Amino acid sequence: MYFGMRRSGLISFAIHALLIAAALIVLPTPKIPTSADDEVSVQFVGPSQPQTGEKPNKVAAPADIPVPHIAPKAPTPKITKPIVAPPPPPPPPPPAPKQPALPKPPAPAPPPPPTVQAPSIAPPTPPPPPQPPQKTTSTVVQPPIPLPPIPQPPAPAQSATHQQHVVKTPVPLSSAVLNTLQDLKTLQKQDKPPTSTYNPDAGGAPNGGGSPNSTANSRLSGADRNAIGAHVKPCWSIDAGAPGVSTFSVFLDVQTDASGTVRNATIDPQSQANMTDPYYNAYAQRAISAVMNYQCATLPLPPYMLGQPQTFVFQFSP
Amino acid sequence: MKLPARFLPILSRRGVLGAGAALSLLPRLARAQTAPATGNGPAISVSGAQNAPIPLAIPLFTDPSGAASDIGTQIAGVISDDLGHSGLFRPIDPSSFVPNSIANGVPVWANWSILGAQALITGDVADQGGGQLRVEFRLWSITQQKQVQGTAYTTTAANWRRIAHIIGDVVYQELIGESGYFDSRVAYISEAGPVTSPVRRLAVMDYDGANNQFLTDGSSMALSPQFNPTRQQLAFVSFQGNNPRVYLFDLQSGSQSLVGSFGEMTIGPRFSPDGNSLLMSVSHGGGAAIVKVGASGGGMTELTDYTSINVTPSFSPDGSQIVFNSDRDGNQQLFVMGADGSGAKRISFGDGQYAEPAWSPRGDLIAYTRWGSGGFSIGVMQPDGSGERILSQGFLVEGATFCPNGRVIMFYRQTPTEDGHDSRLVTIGIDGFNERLVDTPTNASDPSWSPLLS
Repeated sequence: MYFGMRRSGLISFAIHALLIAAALIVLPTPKIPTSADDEVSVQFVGPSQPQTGEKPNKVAAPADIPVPHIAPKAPTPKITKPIVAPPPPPPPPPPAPKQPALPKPPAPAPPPPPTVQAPSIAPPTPPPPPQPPQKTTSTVVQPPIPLPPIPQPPAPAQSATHQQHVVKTPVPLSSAVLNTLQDLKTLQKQDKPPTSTYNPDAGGAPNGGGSPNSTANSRLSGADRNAIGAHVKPCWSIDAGAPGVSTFSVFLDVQTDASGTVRNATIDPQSQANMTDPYYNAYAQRAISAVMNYQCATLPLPPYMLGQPQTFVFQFSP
Repeated sequence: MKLPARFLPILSRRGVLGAGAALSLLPRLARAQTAPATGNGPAISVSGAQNAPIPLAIPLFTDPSGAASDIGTQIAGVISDDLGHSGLFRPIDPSSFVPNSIANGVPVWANWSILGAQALITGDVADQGGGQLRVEFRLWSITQQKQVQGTAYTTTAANWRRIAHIIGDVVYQELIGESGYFDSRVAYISEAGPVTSPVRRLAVMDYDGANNQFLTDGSSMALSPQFNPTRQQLAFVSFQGNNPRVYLFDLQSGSQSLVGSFGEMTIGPRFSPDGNSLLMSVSHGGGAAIVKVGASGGGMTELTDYTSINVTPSFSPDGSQIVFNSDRDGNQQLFVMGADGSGAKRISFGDGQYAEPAWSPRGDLIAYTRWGSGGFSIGVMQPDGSGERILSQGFLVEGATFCPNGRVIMFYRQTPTEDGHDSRLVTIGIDGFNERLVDTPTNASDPSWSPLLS
């Protein structure tokens, strides 16, 4: 009996020792965060900035259009004159998002400056002998795009620890208001913790107070993530004929409102470097469309994450 | 205390080590099944995407006041056909549109998103007098609720189809990420008349079959037209004087000229990517060599010899290689060689014989005709001969040509009929889907797709 228990004890000890050793050896090492210096800062010129007019457009850019050749026997030479597209009537302001906590935008943002483009259009060739399409030019004005009002930043709240200037050498029994307030303040008992924050200029530690760019992913369980991914999957489609699409993967920063509905989605910085590839750009835009599709935009968030806006990081793979 | 026998294997020395090793793998397996960490917890992974077309809505183009416009209706129809026939877009049935879903020029987003539309194309057409039209269009992203593109075009009223094709290409570029192919033309050989003495004429049309024009009168048989990639020019084979030779047809002037007198006959012309030189086959003494000549006919260079039949050459898009068809190995197969004729290497090894190779403008595929016991087929393979795929089969399918962005192939399909045969032009995606007939007024063969016109 004794030897049996001793043997069992030794076996138990050996198993526990192995498990502890295995856990120590193979504990997952934390991933080294990507340094901002590793990323190539690329300006994304695409659908997210359609009004800038900086995107090369074969149709709209006059430099890309070859000089038209007019067929000698063209019955009616096609001539166009520059035109300017008048801006559309001012659109009504978009409906306010369902976020009562968000500040009301005080005034709509001014429309972006119009971009002048001059596309060339070629008319069809007449009957034989064939004529090349005659190209004509026109001036095109990018109509102003309705932009949602930009909320004004709230006025900076005065710090609770802010101190007014006081008279340095008050006369005895001065009735100056500031001195009186100062006197009253010193008489009050401190019953709240200090609310001051670090001062970087004074050498404060910027990373000492938590992550300013934190997302809600860390508060999701694996099952939650799987459920959300499965919910968005039906809206996720790709162009399988795009070169290299099987290797694409894009990270999105997805913001939800208090009800868990996606309100905005942007390309995560770690994927921005690839956006110069037009195929990747289109892939990423389709990912944004998937997560913002009305059929998939209401995410199945756990109840404890509802009631306030959240930001999640999504990864879209083929 | 004695453990049950079923536990003994686990508690043995080997079992303990095995269990430990298995436990040590668990964390790694768990990491492999989750998305990469982002520094704030694993990302929410979405995968298993569908290869689905983009649903978009194309309401009829109106006049600036919002009233119906005949030409606006036609423009919207051509845009819808262009995008829908590409297989990459799915135009939503207009009958399902919610009325008044454009308010003050801006979409009522909810009315479009409820239809599942991801993009919306709106536009209007204004008659500016003097036969001039002003067509304004906007591309909207429904999911992101913003305008993606807004452009206006002015042209003659007769040119409305071209405007529609250009708008389609803009939409294609914005949503797919590469240039479209709608604003392009196709040269082909029109065949009419009795089977015993058909009249074969050189013809050209829009890529979708519209605006068909005959370029030759049929007095001499024409074959194998090829678009110059940089000029308004065609190369083709004409049987003037019953002697097949390569001619050039100037699309601006309508004139044609003989490239040169080489050998007994010259066939199978193909332009170089810069349009300045021409590959063709010159027959001599029972063989045919591939030669390179200037587009004006001078400076002939023999790239192969005449000991075998070497025909139908096609440049790679960068001009560094040439794929051609040769029977030097006993039957017709495909070979790739350098642009100077060096290093010829066979790339086709499947059953049957291969002919009429065409190099994709993207450079990633070579289309070909193959025939054997299973009949004729159109297929594609990579330039090294790997990844061969058959796209379409039939009694006779030949003459593959790529669209400007390499996504679609056009070829002709000939089927026997009681009084001869029926020959039609067909398009098909390089994935083998979305095969469609192209309307032509007569039997058609030997298509050649032009580059983009704009």
